[in-house]
Amino acid sequence: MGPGTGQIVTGIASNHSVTACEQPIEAHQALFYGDSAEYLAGIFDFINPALDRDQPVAIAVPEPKLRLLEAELGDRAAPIQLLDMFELGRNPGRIIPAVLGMIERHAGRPLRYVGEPIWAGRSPEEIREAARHEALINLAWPEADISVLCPYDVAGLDDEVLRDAEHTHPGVVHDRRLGPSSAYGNGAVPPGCEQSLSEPPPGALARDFEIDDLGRLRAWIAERAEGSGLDTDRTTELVTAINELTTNTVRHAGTHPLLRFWTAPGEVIFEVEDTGHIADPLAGRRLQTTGAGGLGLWMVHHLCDLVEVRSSAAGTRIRTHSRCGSAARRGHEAGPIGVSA
Amino acid sequence: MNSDFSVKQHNQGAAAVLAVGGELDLRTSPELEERLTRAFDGGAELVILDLRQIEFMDSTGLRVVLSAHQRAHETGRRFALVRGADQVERVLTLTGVRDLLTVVDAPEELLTAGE
Repeated sequence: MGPGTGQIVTGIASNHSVTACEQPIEAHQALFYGDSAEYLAGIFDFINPALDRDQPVAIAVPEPKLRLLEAELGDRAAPIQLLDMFELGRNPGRIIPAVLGMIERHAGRPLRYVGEPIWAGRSPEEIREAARHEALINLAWPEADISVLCPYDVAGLDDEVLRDAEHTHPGVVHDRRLGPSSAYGNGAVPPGCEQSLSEPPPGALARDFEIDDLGRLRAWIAERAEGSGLDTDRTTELVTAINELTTNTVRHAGTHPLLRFWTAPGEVIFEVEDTGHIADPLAGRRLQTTGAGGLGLWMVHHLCDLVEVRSSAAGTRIRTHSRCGSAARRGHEAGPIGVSA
Repeated sequence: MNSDFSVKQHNQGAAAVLAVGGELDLRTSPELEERLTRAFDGGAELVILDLRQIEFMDSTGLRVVLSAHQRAHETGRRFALVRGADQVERVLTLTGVRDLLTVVDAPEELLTAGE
């Protein structure tokens, strides 16, 4: 018996509480925990009913917490898909694709997924994109039979981050009790996530471009990436990724596009600015192998370490971060998740 | 620059082998799409797209590959790729497209086995 089996408060209730956007509070819950005991109890309350019924469970949390959970779970860990969120969620834009893959693999069965994409010590840029990811979870799989639990470290995270968690989750768990969030935003992205990107530094390089420049731009991107210390594989990845952005711009978006490049400690940054508007907030997170678009941004998310998108009727800026030097670790190679023929 | 983009076709029985060279991107993908369409329209039962001489492929190239795969599937024909360089493989793998396709190391594998 694991801890928490005696009291099940986060399970699927027979009469769902439904929020304004018809999202039952069980579907996406924030677990506010103060210490390891609350962490384990909250997670076990959530997963034990599924384990008892041999239903699929997946857990993606930062690596030290993964070890803690494994130790507590013992033999019960065997059927659980355990993933290191440091890897999977380094770019939060890759998490929804991975969960969509799980849903597809377990089609027809209720899936419980524990995901902790926000941890103390993440950069403000990463936390903003992780909070955006949390909001998009409410839109990503309307038909799927999945419940999601997202642990939040109340001792380590800023109040603003915790307020955003109330905004992005229809359900919140305090003291092992699930209740409705008082601030749920019906799937909207928290306003803080949409704040303008910082201005590029004065030394940033900028180039305008049109369709005939795509090949020359690729050579330029490769030079910049190699000159910043990226190895051949990473350079190729970055050329592939940024070319998708410039190609999207040429295909869809108005006049005066700009490609910018600069470096920051430990990373290489490219940014594409144009006058287009990406209307779908899930663009790049759902892979469609039919139809005209959707592959490019997916590739960018899977090839870069962080992708910041700001898009409105006024225009779009997409900024990619790629770690270099000792900060660089290979992206997870899992690749093809969520593709259907 | 894309000036070295090329598509060379040779037929063997009911099979058409299209060998592509250069960079497959937004500018060059339409030409490949047209050549593949012509190969299917010409009645090929097996269309092999040889990517070994491709130096770069983007998502528009991937779309062309997918649409050829779709066409073959819908009309009961066969479509296969000859494995390309690392960048091409990475793009195919990353998007899961590779899992949908028949991929070989050389066209002869299919021509001797199947024709």
